[in-house]
Amino acid sequence: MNKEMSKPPMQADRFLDLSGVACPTNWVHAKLVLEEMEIGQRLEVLLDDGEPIRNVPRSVKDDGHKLITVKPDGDQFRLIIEKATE
Amino acid sequence: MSTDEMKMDVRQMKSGGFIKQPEKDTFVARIHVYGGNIEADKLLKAAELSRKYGRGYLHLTFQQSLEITGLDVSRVSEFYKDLDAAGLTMANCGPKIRAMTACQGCKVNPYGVVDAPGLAAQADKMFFGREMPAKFKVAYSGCPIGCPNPQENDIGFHGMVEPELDAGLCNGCTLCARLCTSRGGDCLVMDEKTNLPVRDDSKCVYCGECIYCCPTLAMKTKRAGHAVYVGGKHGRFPRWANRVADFVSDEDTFELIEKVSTWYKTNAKRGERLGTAIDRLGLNKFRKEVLGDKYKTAHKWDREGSRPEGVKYRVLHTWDSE
Repeated sequence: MNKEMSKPPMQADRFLDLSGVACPTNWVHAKLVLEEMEIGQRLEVLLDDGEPIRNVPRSVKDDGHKLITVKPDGDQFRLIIEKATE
Repeated sequence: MSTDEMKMDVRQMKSGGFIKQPEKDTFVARIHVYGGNIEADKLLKAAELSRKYGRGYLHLTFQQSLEITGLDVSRVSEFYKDLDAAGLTMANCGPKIRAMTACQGCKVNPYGVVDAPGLAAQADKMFFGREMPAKFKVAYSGCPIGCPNPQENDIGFHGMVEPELDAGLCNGCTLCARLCTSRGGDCLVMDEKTNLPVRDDSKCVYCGECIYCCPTLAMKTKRAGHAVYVGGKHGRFPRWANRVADFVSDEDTFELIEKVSTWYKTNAKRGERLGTAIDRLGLNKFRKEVLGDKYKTAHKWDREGSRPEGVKYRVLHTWDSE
């Protein structure tokens, strides 16, 4: 379910598929990946509609990271998060 | 136990918070909790009291207080001493202003706009226990989700927030327009030419969802305050409250409790709840005498007080279809 692709897409340094992962577990997964990354690097996540898209962008902001883009992708959303703090 | 001691106990019990159980000489002792929070140490002491005087468990009341069951009438004096030593006090029952209830509010819940438990605690200090024609309940909710059921209380408040766009910070991501709670009311839509969200204030429910989701902090708080509901109740004859004012300040919630409870005391018959008195005397009289020109609503709301009158909503998202 929560699979990280070996080859990340062009826009980001890492990619995380959070399809089907409920709140707040989805954000915990994203945080674990962000912890391994350097400040300034970008993480792309694929996120479900509904509660996940309501909650995750807010958690990104609350934790002090930058949300670069939010793009709809079918029934889902692609977020690009820039790590801004440790 | 002497007759004098028994008289003493009965007198103490009159101050409130004791409810007769079906068993002979057995009472429930209702302990005062306000704003839905109790210090852990006090809770432990309440637990000790339950072991000593009750049946070893505490009942959580629907008004967020604690009840010890099985207290024998002969031990009331002794119970009072221990209660006092524990720093606890009795709640009340009967025709009085009850303990103020609240959700977690903005300090704990991300959706919160106002500090509901803090305000409930302040209001409780000012108004708890006042004599009224019938019971009188007050609830503070942090946001329009309204978990403490503000619409079912004699006075209910919920936090509300009006958003304002700082166009220079917006990157046109469309998230706010997608997540807008006025779902399908077309309150917040993207302008195709400018690629900026445009908000129709006449359709807004002031939930703040667009502020919370905004990735670039472009959607800001223009003003925040409380929505005010009066005359709600549940029970055998439930009555949904009337939404009578919006964007009321923290301090003015206290003024409203004062004014509404005074009006209620002056105008209601004995045993008549506020909502019933409003129905009998007319909402217009209530508005004129209590709200005056100072308190107004942001829209003309529908009878439920949840949607601006005449605005039709359609279901946009799958999670709304329940």
